[in-house]
Amino acid sequence: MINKKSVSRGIKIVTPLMLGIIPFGLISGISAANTGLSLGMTMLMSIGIFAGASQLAALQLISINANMLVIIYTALIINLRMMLYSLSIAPYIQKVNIKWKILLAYSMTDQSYAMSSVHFMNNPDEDKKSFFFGASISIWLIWQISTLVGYLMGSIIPPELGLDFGIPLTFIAILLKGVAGWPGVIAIITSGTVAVLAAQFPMNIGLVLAAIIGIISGSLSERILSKKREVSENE
Amino acid sequence: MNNTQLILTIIFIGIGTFLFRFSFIYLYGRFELPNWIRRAMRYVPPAVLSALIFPAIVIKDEIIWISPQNPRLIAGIVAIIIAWKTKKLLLTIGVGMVLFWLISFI
Repeated sequence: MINKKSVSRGIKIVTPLMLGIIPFGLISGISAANTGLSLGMTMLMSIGIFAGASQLAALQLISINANMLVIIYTALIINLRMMLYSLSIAPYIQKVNIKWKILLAYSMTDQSYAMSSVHFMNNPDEDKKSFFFGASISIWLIWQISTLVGYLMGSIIPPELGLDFGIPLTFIAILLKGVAGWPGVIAIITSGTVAVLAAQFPMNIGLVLAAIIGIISGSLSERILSKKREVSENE
Repeated sequence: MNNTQLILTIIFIGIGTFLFRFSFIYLYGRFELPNWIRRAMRYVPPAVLSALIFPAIVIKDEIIWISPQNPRLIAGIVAIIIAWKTKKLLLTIGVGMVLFWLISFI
């Protein structure tokens, strides 16, 4: 039922990525400890959500006492991209039963999705279920362990050291890894500016506003820039 | 935030995130995403992340603090440059953190 060779190929393909996943997990554990979460709560979050950037965002917002709905909204909107992964990986795992679909969906991450989808394009004969499972589950395991280790580290490091600054620093690293083209830069600058100017709005609604305005300005500028290009190509 | 609120927050985020992951794996062939939504989705991560980054490095005690004396701002800007040039997670966090300590404690 499960193809061991495919599973181990899946594990192998994500192994080099652990260099990025381990520190990310450590930081999320450290931040959880510094935010004052119990170990049980931290692991509930890590296993129940299993999406690093949204967990860090939630922790940052919990530490500044943000409104609960704003925390949920922010974490969810960060994870909206998972729908695109779901759409893109869906054709490869249509033949598996619903239990496998649930397991594969739950354990899917940016990294396991990206590596698997490229691999499936180049290797149509791969046992996709097993490969995808191997890629996702090894990241899952490493993530949980590094979160746990990070939590234990965080509980002995005094909060005065300001390790919570690791959260925005991690976001900076993730943000600049993925940014492509001017529309992305425009989205970043408008959203960031609105977030600063609207920071004192009640219930952290400024964050919601900033995200929406940033998304709109990014998509609009992509449309305008692509039209301009068409015009100049026609001239 | 009390424990009940915290658990509820985690559960809601967890269920929502699972539904995003499961959505098209489950719905495949029955539903298509319109193009404008696909395009907008590409700008969700940069918009949300920068909405979290900017206030965290610019605002201190509810006041906008743009000055070379603001350790988070200076460390943040250097981290942005390093992340942009090298794309390295550890290096970005490491240099940003050390710089932040240096400026705050000197």
